[in-house]
Amino acid sequence: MKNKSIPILIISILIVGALFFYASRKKAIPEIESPDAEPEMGQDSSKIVTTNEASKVDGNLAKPNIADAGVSIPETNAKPTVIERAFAKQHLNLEKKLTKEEFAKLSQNILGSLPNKAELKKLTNEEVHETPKIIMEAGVKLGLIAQAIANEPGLQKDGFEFYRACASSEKNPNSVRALCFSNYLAFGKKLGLSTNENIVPASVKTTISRLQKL
Amino acid sequence: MSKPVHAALLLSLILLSACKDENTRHVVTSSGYSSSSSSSSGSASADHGTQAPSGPSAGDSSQTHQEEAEAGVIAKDDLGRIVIASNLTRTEQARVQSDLRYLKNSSLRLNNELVNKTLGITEANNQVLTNWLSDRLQYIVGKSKDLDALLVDSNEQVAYENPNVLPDTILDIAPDLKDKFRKTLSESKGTTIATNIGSLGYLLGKISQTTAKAIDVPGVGHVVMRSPRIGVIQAAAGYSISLLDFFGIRGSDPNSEANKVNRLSTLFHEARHSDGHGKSMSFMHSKCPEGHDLAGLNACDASLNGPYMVGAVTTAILATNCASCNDAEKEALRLMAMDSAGRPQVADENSPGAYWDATPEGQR
Repeated sequence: MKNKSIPILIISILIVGALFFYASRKKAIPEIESPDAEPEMGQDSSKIVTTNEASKVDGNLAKPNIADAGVSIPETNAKPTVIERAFAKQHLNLEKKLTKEEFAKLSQNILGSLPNKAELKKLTNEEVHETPKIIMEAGVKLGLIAQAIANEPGLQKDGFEFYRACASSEKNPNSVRALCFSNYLAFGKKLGLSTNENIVPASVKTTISRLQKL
Repeated sequence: MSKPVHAALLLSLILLSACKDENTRHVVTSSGYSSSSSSSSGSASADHGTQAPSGPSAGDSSQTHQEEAEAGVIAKDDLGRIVIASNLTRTEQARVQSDLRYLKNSSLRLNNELVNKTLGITEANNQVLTNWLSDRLQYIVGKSKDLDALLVDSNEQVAYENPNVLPDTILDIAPDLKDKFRKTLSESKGTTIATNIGSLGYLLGKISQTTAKAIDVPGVGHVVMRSPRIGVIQAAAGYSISLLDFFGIRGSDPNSEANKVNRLSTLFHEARHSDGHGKSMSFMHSKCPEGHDLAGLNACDASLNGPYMVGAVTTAILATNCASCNDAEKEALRLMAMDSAGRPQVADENSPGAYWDATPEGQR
């Protein structure tokens, strides 16, 4: 009896010990947060989505730098946390169909994070020779809106409203207003909605007209 | 030892090894995360001009997250018309080649009045656009901040055409042109893709009215700037990173079609600086007027066929033709086209002098 019980005891201790060790190691690996989990306001964006999360959410996103870039939001003048959250979520899958609520939130965040004319005025000759970085970043943000509408045609009316607001804002750079106004007119025509040509100055219309003949 | 003890030890080892495997996976993932972290914050590290390209792809197997050495030997485009200097890294050389190959093999075919007038062509297709570029761009050199080493006096006397006629924009800054350009080189940000230094070399020679300037093209030697059409373009830090980075989901690959379109349209813009003569020489940019978003900055054009409109139309048509671009990428490219299209300060195409004569000075 004694001879038999010693090995069994040792086995039990080893198994329990090994399981305990395994469990404790696994706990050290961060739990994967649901991509839909809403981070708290002010939460460090780098904690919102990690590489592990991105890889898990979408198998196509296996590149190691994906999620990092997902939270590496433009260095426009601050206002990051809210929009970063929206982007981090949105960017996990560009093909995702957004609900009206999600689109409204994204729209609001993007409208609030577009660069303004005052920021452009601070740039140097060298920084504006090619398209300024802050405008390129605005293009990426506006790209998300375009993609969301393309993914879900039911958002076209919401998109129309977004573009009206974007084109109307005098703070927005004229290039941004031109793109938004062009889309506002296009969706207005497509959806049979009345549009107001006077929400942008002549210079914005001139910019659009230069590329309209393409 | 008894069999049960053996079994117990074996079981423990298996479990421990499972723990170790899991741990290893975690380390690898973490490592991938942190390395991408330093690369894809592209904007930050690229500002130092040492940014290694992020998002390695098939065409860029050699790239690492550390600064890559210069290639040491020149490369050429597929047609052998454009020399890619030896001071670019192999990754950069491969990227330039790949961009030019993309254009050469493009299915683009467009007969559009605006495009034709802007570029001075009769039809936009892959062959015409490839030739348009290589007629104005003969050398692509890597980034060098030492202008004195880059730009040297040649012993060659050149009989300049229109000897006393210079672009209006240059007149007030002519004495400081070299200093101004030196500043440009030293201050160029990580997002600058390319700068036409050939036209500067030509201009400096013409202003000095003595011997022509030569540009030291690494791997080639001194190239005398007898004409701006010799076309020497410096690839800057922006060539090494992904500028159209959709936070890593799309566009984080510098070789994505959208990023190619961005870089190619910049080359088209720069190539236009190799054109013109007399007043229109180099199609130099003008100061943006009051009321413009970039008022006071030297970031506008006084013509509708200058570098900005060339950049705008090439961005637009290449984006439209981009097969793999998603809606987000196309929209970002559209905004870039809008930004460029807003730069010319010409009322409309019927205004006098709206289109400049692009005939170049000198002999290539």
